[in-house]
Amino acid sequence: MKNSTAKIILSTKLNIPPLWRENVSRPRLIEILNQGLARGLILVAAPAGYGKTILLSEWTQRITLPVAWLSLDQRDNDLTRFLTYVIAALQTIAEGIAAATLEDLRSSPTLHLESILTGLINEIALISDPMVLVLDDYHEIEYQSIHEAVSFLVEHLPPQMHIVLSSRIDPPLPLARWRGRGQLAELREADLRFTLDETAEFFTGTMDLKLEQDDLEALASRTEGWIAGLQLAAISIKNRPDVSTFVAEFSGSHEFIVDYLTDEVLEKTPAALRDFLLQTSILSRLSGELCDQVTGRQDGRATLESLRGNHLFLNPLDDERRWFRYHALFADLLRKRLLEEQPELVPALHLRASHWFDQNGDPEQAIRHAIAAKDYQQALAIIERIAEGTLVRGEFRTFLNWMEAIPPEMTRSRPRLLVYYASGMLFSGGDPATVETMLHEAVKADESGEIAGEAAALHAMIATLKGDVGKSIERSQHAIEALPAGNLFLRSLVIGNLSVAYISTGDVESAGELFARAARDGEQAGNHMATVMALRRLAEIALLQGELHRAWDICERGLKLAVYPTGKPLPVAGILMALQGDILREWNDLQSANEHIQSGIELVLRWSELAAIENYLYQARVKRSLGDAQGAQSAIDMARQISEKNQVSRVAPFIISLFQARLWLQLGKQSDVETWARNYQPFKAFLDEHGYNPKYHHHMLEIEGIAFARFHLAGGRWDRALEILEPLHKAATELKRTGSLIEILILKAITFLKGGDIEQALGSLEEALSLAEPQGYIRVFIDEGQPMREMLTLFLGEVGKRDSSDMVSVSTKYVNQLLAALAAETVTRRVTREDVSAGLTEPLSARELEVLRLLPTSLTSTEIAGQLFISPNTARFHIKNIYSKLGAHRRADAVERAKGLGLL
Amino acid sequence: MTDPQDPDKSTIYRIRVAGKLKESWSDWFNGMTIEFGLEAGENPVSTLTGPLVDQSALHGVFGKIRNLGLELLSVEQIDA
Repeated sequence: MKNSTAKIILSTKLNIPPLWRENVSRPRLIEILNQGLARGLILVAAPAGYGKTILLSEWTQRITLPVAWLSLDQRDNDLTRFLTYVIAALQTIAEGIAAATLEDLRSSPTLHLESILTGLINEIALISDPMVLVLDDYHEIEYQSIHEAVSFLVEHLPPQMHIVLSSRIDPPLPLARWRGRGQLAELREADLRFTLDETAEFFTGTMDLKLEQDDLEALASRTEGWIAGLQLAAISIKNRPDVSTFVAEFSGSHEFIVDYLTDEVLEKTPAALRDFLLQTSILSRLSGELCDQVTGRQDGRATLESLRGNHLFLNPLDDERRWFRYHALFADLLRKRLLEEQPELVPALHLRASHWFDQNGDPEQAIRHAIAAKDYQQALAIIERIAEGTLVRGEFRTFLNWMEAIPPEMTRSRPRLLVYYASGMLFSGGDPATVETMLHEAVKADESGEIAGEAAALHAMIATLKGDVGKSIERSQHAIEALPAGNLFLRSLVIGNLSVAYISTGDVESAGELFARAARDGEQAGNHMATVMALRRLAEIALLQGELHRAWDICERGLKLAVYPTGKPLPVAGILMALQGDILREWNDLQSANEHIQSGIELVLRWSELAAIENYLYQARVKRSLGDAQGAQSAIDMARQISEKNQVSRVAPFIISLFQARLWLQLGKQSDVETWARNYQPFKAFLDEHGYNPKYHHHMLEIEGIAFARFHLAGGRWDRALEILEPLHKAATELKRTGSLIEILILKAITFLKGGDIEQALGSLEEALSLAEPQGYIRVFIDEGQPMREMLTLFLGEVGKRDSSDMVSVSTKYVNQLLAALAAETVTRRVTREDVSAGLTEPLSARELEVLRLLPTSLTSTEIAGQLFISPNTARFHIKNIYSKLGAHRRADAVERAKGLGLL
Repeated sequence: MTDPQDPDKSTIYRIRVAGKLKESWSDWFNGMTIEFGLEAGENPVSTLTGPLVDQSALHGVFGKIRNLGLELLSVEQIDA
């Protein structure tokens, strides 16, 4: 928040509303609230005018616990914004708390709610002192995701934290469940009504009126202790000479209390003051200066002061008493009156307010009032100005709410805004077809061509989602040329997009150059997210080119950049960590690989769920190498779940399916694989169906080809395998994709071996070995198991026979190293399968031990997840791994075995 | 877009609230007519009747009832 008005808005939201000096103290309710601290959540639910806010304000003065306060309003129906404010409120009592989570919120294109909240909860848990978070006026929240977030918070609340919600309605949260578990304390309408004693104290103390006991009783009975009614009655009485007559008439009337009393109050109010009240009722916040602008008078500040003195439902929002607001109920009554008496004035009032807010640094209020005035051009002009900033902060919902309030025909002449609208829709999960239509409209309306870059960028992203790589590349290149240098938001996204596209084509060299440039640009601009994304792709390219060391170094470079000021890694760093894990796996350091990938997954889930798909596939690979079939299966299942839930990428399901097939092949599940192969829709068919050019999909076709070559190998169809491998071999050589080439050569070697052509087999193997040795490849060989051992042994013997004049491109040391690794592998496997009781070959991780400790309880996996602040899926994943490592199939077995091993 | 004023698309609702609500609230409540009567000879009840275009509009009216602190007694759809 840069400008001072924005800071004031924030402080008025975070300020605990000041009390009146002569407030009616309510010890009875304070006591209930104090006792409520023994529960997690306190709900104060009652209609308008029952003194909820004032009660909570008094309570916070009386308790010694630090209180974080957030007054909600209509504009907070945006998840990013809501959480930002909650953290800002917490920071008023715990400096710097959850700064990292705040940063995640700002940099996250797609929020993974659970991970963000888990981060927040963990940071709260670090504070040892008890504290209270008050969310006042929670009924303003209508956005479902926010209810889900609050629900999650309450379910996982650290014991030292207490949440208080005040609301006019019961919020849509699982209240019954919490009530049943004794986690909920409630104050409701019946509790909040003024008792007769409180009514008496209110009239004599607060309002300074002397009333007969009979009149007091009559008023209390007529209003049923409704405080707003009593307050209006008191104001009316102040203007009346004859209290008892008033009370008698009021009590005898059937009229709706506020109708009756507002008439009373407004009738007796001088015309000038009455006009002031009606005209300023359109404002959700009032200051003297703002009122002057709206009324065209100069008495704003003085009038607000005098209203305050008259108890006319005006509450200060800050300690300097610059900003006030009418009590919501009273404001409604005034607005209704205004509409009745001076309807023609209403748009003009809103427009004046809009201008004032615009000039005083609060564009959002300016937009709100311009929309209310139906001056859509004014609204659009302001929206256009702040759209980019709003989107960069991830406040898509806020932005979309504005746009949806404006008739669509008004936006047609504003191409730039249409592009923002399109990107807001795209990033909040809107239908790509609608987005594309909107972009076409934008480009058509754009005579100067200034938004061509932005539109191309979005088209490119949609093309990628649809799997249309050719179009994606074309549009991305166009976007990079046409986008203004300053538009970092879209630039970084386009770069990420283009990377995927280029890798797909197999043209890794051009892709590499482009990313190197993108990474430099990102670094210069200080845009870490863009830099890390570019570096990750650059490292992937190095991997495809078979340069493991270079890929590792690129990741290191990114990891140094992608840190918070505190030194902790940024969530986006997870994509680098997991890739390093995959390199460690190739170097056969499986334990470190496993840990790197697990940390990478946990981190990246705080940034983008979609980015975790690739990480889960790395995990599947390392688990497979570890001989942990169940672990590998769980990882594939996680990837599939995310892919199915989001359904944005058309390509991900293919890759996941191929990973699945590879796992079944390794496990020898012949019938599963055959069913799979029969039902698999070739990627080529997908390309043909959409009319995409296959030359742009080299990478995908290569992965698919390798999978099918393995399938045919397993089925003994050597010719079919070779038919696939030959063209892949040729293409990988041409495109200098050494990483792929090594695996293709190995598969060719095995095919020749099985086909009985030893000479050819050893030739291919030697080629693979010579390419692999400098980079220290291990797993790609030893994952093949027995046939590889056979070939390596044969190869050693053959090399021994060669003349010294024959060049041997591979060191015997390397071959011996591979054979040793294969031997170690076999021993480990045997132990894992046959002799679990002797001890664990693969120790449980720290997290798995935590989960294990909860297994003897009767907690469900979801409840275990709750206890450990992890998602239920993650908990189930750990449980599966525990079973697998312990060789158990049921929970009871796992517990028994763990006890036997002294783990429990 | 649905025209909120289009009577053909609307359903007629009858909403009863406790107390006497003046006719002048009609505009505030989407133009619904407001009638008042004493039920069972003594209970003051106001009845709001009129077309509402969809459930959102209905909930909008509930919101206004809630914000005014009116006591909601019953809601029903009636045939036009």
